[in-house]
Amino acid sequence: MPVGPILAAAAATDSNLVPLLITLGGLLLGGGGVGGVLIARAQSKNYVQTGYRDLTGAYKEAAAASEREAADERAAKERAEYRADRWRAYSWALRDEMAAAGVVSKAIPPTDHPSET
Amino acid sequence: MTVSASTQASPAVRVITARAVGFVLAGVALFDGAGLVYGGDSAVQTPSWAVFRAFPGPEAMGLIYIATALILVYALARPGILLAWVLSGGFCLYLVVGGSFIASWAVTDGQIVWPALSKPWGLAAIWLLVLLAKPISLPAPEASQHGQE
Repeated sequence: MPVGPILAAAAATDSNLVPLLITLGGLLLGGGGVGGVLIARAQSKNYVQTGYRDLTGAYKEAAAASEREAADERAAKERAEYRADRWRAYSWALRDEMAAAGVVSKAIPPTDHPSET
Repeated sequence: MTVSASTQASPAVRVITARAVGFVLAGVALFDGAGLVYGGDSAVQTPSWAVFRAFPGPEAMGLIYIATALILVYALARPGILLAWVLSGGFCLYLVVGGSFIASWAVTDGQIVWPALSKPWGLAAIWLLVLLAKPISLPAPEASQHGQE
């Protein structure tokens, strides 16, 4: 593999240094390994407690919650429609009775539910 | 309306972000590892790699990178305690690589390449941030009020 003269010179290491380099490499990797184990032991406790593993369960729970919310909204809308229907039925019946009694004219329709105006 | 819109599961986003960053880290480690294994000595001709060129060698380092990346991908797919171990290992791996750069410069008395430190130590910081990322905490589902007539 051809490399430039500067790179080649920089990469060439004194053979006397090789044992020191090997020692350093071993120390660094060993130190990193020990550090990794220590940090992992300190952090893994967190991972068990907080349920990072329950990711799929959390998603299911979130989906169920939004579904519940949609169902609530639907139920509220149905209740509102039911109330409006009852208002309409009562008001038309009342208007008919009053018209029959001659109190009001049949030409005037009853008012809508306040929520619909 | 009696239904509040505050029951959206927004906290889950944080975990998704952490997972996405984790997959990026795995990709970077995979790239580094493949490059080291494929290129061997010629892949790391810089003065910064003098220590790890001597021991354990670029191919071994490449295999360590690849193993870390593959374990991370596995752990991200099945979040659990293994994730803590591999994230901690990746953090220390990149930290050690940065340290080896400094050791190489000190021992060989060669060129000092300060900008070379930013990649391993910056990546180490990201590994640590993913390791310390806050777990999900969904709000308890509210008791819906059906009492209103």
